[in-house]
Amino acid sequence: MELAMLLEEWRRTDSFIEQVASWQIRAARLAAFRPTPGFLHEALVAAVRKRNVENLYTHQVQALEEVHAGNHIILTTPTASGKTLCYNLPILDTILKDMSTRALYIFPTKALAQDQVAEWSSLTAGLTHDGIHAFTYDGDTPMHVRQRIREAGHVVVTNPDMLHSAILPHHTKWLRLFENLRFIVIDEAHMYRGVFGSHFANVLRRLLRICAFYGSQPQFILCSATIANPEEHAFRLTGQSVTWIGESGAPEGERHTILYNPPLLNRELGIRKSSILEARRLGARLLTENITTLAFVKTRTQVEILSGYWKRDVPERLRTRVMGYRGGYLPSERRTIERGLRAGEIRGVVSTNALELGMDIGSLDAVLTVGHPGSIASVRQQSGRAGRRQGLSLSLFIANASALDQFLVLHPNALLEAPPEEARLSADNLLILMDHVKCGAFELPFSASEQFGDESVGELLSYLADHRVLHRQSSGTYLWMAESMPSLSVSLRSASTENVVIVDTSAPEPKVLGETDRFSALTTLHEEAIYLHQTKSFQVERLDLENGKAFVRSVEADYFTEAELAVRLQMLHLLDGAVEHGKVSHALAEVMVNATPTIFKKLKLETHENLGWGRVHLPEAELHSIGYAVSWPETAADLAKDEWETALAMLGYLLRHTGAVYAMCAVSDLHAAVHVRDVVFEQPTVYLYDAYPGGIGLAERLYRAHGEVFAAAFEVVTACPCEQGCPSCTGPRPRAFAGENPKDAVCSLLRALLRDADEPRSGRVSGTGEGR
Amino acid sequence: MRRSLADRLDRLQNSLCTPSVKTEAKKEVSWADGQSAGTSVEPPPPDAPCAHPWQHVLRQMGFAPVDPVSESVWKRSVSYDVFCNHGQYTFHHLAEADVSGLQHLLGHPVSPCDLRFFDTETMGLGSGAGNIVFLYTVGQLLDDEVRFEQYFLADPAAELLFLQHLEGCFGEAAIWVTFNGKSFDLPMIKSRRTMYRLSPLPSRPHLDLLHPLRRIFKSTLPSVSLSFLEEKVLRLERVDDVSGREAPLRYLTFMTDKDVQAVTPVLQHNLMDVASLVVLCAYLADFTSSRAALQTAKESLVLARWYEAWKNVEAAAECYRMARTLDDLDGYALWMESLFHKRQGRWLQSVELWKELSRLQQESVAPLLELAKWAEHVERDLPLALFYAKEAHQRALQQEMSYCRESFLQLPYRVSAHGSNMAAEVSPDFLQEPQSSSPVLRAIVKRMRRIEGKISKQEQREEEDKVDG
Repeated sequence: MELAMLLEEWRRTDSFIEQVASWQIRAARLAAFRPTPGFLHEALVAAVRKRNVENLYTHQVQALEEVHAGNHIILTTPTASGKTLCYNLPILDTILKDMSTRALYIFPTKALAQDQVAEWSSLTAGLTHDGIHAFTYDGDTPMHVRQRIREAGHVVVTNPDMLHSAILPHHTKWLRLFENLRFIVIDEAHMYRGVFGSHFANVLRRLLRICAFYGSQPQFILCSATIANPEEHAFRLTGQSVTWIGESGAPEGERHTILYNPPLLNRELGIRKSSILEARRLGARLLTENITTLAFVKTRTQVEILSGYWKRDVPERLRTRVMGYRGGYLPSERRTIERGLRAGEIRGVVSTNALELGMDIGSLDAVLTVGHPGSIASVRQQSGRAGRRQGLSLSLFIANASALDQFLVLHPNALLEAPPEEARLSADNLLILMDHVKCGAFELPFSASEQFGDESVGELLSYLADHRVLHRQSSGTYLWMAESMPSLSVSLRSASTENVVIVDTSAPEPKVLGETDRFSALTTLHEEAIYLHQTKSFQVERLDLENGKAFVRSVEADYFTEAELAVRLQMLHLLDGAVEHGKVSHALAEVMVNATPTIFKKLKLETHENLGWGRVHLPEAELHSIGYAVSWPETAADLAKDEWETALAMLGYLLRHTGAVYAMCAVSDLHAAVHVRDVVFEQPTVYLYDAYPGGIGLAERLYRAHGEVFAAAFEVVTACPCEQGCPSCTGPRPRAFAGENPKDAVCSLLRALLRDADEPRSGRVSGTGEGR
Repeated sequence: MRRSLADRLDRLQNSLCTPSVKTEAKKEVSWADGQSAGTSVEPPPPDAPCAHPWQHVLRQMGFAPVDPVSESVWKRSVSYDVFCNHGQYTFHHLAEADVSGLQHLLGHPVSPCDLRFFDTETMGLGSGAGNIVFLYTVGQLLDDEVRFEQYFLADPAAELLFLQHLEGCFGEAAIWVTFNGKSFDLPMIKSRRTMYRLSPLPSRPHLDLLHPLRRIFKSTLPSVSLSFLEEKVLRLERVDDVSGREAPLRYLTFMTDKDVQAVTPVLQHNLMDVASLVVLCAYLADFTSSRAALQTAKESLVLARWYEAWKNVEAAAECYRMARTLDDLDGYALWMESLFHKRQGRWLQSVELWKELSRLQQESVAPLLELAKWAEHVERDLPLALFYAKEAHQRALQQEMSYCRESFLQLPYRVSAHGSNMAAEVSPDFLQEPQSSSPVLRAIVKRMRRIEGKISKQEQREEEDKVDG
């Protein structure tokens, strides 16, 4: 059955259409062309013609003109709008006019980089000029060709990690590149946010420092998915003012976007049918009708669960053509799946956001997004995977019961029309900054007055010199003085550098299944946890944190596990705001959090019912971060002590979910802690803090936008049809609650906040800490 | 409530599992006790001309500042009589040595007094841009003495001057001699010069002793490092020497605390390293130019391969002959010799060796296979070829998989020269013959089939001839 016909069927099925919160059809759009500009090298014009392109899309010509004028640019046109040409054309043009020109392409992953070289070669194949080469330079590049790439590669395609650990620390070997570097291309720029973005901005600072040393001033060309603040984001990344090109001239096919809210099972408790089970049913139907379907789910566990369901539900002929895809699979396994999708051999894939990026996986008919993946840009990127190459396509968003998802279903426009979120990064996070100052000092000695980004780093340098990491020379410059190379101990991808390897001991020979970061290991690889890999269950026998290994054994289990963390929070240092007793107060502060995994639950596959629990015995983890604290006088609500506890916990749940929308992060990036009587505020307090050491600006953003966050939270809770709180607003009502209705208590706390926000603020102390 | 940056950073460190800066800082080591600097150090006399004790110590060791004002780059020149022994050799040994072998290795004419022996010490072990060379020594043979010039960078701020002095150490005709200098010392110097935008040093012939010495000793020494070579080859025992690995940390200690005791052993160590290069070079010259001193069959094989590469076939043949007389002669040596003869087209010798090998080693397959090939392609005796192939097949079947793999690996020459061809030949069989799993077996079976095919074709032709006749 054609997709169009299936959609028509669904439209006429009452049980389906009743659950649809929004069904939007975007009509197909025609292409807008402009002739190739006159300044282009004639050989290039000819090469473009050979590809049967007479005219270029308007945004491509605009990009050419801006780059020609010497401006830095950022492009945010949709997926498949021909962004690649927007940087390949001006760069190739410059190379043709001056063969010494060099360019550096940076992609967030290795796989994307390899796609890119193929693209470049197909363009240069149309040229009569020889000797224009693009090479990937990554961990897989054989040693013997590296020398040649360093000397002869006009375009070097790499990833941030390689740049950080292999190119910059060895810049003297890259003399030719750095002396002639004219362009730096950063694709998927929206990926560089949060911790990764903060690291990458610092890597770029180091890169520019080295360029300045060799006397080159490269021009930036950035590409990004749609974000609200392209110019600002590009500025924060690169430190340069950048021109934005957002208007696309590329054609687009007809697209149906459906927001689907699973039916309510229990109105009072606000329990809805599981979004995974709905994705199972709808996805299996799509697959059975021969429609290539990609589903995005939120966690690695869900990948395994949903792909397992699909394998069982689809007809025999499709069973081997449905796969899971996620981080933690070995790269070769992932490449095979990408190739299979492109070739049409694989018809169904369940993935985490690992497939979100512009990896070429061909055109897909239908994309399911199961649960909000953390940011609206992600949703758009995911649904953009459908129908990249014109024709009818479907993007189906299946909400889950979380407060965030229910907020989106109630406000479809927030997803469909509202401006996308901003990409945030905090390049001056002290820890990250310090890591890169170390790396920078290894690459070129620092002078005390030198600027690194916006910051002057004198104080940091003398701190590092005191700790004998740097050496202060008689000339006043600081020199790296430890034996090891600093970049080796700094990982860009996460705050902690160490990983845990998962070893299957039940195989004839022990085999590495995958890997995960240390923090996730606490909750997913504790002893007795069920670890899922390609829908097979493994039980964790032993977690050896010291040596970074988890030993698992294949088991037949019909359940999976979920662990919980116990958290202790302490305020260390007030950064902004005020601590006031007897009234509502807001503050931004440095906090110290101690987390210990406590218990894990066993949940049955299929029904997700609770089968029991066990204890987790693992050491405590310490996190030093930035938190936003909001506090109420005890008079704000008439509640007993344990009622306060419940009301605050429910409010924390609600604020985490709505807060995530405003901070453009995943809910898991933002943690909440509640104190009925906080030692600092001496009254009930809720803390929301960044789940990364040193903070990455999420809590800070909530602190600044708290009025909007609370207004949205209030709307969610009042619009929710449940009576006493449910997973869709405040989290489920705990059994132990003695008082009246906890949901009312939450509402009155919110009302107190909003009332307070309306009143003119007086005597607000600000900036006792250093502002950022 | 504002806390200092240092306090905040210290606290932040606790959030990380990685070793913190603090623990690094605790790694303070005292070099004072139990270490001998090789020079006895007296406290500076009260009326010493220099204000700092470390400068006094350097002066006592014979160093003088290159630039008297800044006192940041120091140089000393140490000479020894050429007839001094360094281990079991004198330096003079090199002056007298036959350098024809070295010339072949280098591909360039060699005169001993053009050789410049060179070694560096650096602040770290990697080759990144932040690693600094703080010490280098250049050694050279003069008429009646051997002279080592040592440059020490006491203050990295003066690195430019330090690097510029290197240019003067190498004349027009100089030939570099290093130990692992191709991968380490010279790239390091190149990187440092790039940092100061100095032009690269003029390219000169470069004899890196590591590679030929590794070839000679890789099967006899646990690791081909300078210290092992000194012990085993030069019979040299160093007294109170520090390990080269300690050099970075010692220099760092010197930089921060001006604790000169930390760094003086490194200066001495580096000087001795370069002295060892001189005599190791003499050893290599002897080894490569004369068969007289060969003591093991393994050494003979190494030399034979060099001679063959240098197109000195007769000398190579003689090396194999010598190997036969030595105690550690084994099947591998005979096998290598048989392949040598095969390459030279001396089938008689090869066949004899293969027959002997197949007798000596009842389990080995490779010699029989060689015989089969010879019979098929050279002798054109198809029944004989089939006989050998069947024999090889029999043996291969008897072997366990693991041994098959081993004997296959005993064909280093064949595999490296024709490995890819063989793989291509074998691959179609992968599908047809799932039962024979080892590549050797598959190759043999294929060979047998081909010979059988040829035989039946031949018989057919003979039949037809008869009919026609």
